[in-house]
Amino acid sequence: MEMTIEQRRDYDKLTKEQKEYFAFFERQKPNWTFSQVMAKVQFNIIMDDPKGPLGDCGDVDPHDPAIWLTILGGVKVALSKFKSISDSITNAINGAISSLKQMISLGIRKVGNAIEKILDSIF
Amino acid sequence: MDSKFAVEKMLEAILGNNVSLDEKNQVMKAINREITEKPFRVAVIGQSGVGKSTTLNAVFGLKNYTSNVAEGTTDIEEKVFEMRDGFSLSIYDMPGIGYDIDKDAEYEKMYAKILPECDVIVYIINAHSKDIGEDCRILRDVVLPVCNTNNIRENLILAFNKIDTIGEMQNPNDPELRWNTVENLPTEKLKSAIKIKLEDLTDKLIDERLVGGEDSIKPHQVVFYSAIYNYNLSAFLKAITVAGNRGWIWTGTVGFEQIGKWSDKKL
Repeated sequence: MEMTIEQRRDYDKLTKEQKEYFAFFERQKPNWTFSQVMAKVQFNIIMDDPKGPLGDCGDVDPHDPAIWLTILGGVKVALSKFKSISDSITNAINGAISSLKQMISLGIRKVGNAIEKILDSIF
Repeated sequence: MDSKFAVEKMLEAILGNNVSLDEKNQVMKAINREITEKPFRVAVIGQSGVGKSTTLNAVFGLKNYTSNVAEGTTDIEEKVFEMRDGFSLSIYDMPGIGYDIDKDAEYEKMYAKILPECDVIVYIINAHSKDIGEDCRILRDVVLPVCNTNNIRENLILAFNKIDTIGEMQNPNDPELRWNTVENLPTEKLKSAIKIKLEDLTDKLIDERLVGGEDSIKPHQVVFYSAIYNYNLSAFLKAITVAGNRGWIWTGTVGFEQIGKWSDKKL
């Protein structure tokens, strides 16, 4: 399938297995666009998640780094409305955001070190 | 009792001793104002019988909530629920707009008035529905255009409820297709049935360009759950958290406290 530069970038982020899914769905649905096939791959990822709708969902995890990354992103946007926010505040929040991003990229569901201690004290 | 919200405790701990007390107080005041200056507004849309009441109970912790809005009404009232410490939740309980295409314009006016005010818009569908064609039409022709015009597409969550009943609808006499209430999990046979059904549903959403199209929603905005069994509510909470500009407020304040609050297993 022909791809734009941006689409190629998104495609390259897929794992080997996800690329195999992409190829499978591309064959199964020859009329679908790149975006439609990618959406199917993303749904597949959701279905394959052992904690997803076909797995053992368990209780909601208040230590989930992805959730806290979003919350801190929202805090940062909310605070950006106020001109008097200092660099030290911004740096502290950015530091926490970096830690959370690192945890997500390493695939560790529970955050480690300082952030984990904070969440343990909250929940 | 510490009345601070989870996000406030997190922020306070992150700032620690790295900033002056004055600065810290300024920031905490700003975030508290963001949280409490207006209610967190949620629109819930769905036909009778999709489980709006159970969803509001399971996800938002509204005990004994009853959805009794008349089918076809366009006169929608905002219901406000005080959560705690100045934070409140407001619900616009909206009926599904019915299958009368001639009334689309009337309902579009209703949605255009209310949806732009909402932080999260939850459109609930029965996961065991044999045909979601009409819901797809309503989403494609009425709801999504309103969301796109007002730049609130990211506030929309498509919620497929009652995945626990998918098996029973296929064969009510097969006990292997019933929900395992002891483990609170689908049986293996039910899991296979759910997988097939969810694949059909997602293919339909993609075919209809509700997902994977220009001006359409993303896969993470679609959730499959069972409100009555509190199943896969974490996906729902995540979808709320990333919704629009303010979804994070729900999860950062009372979201974790409220979800599954009244579930039987906790009694």
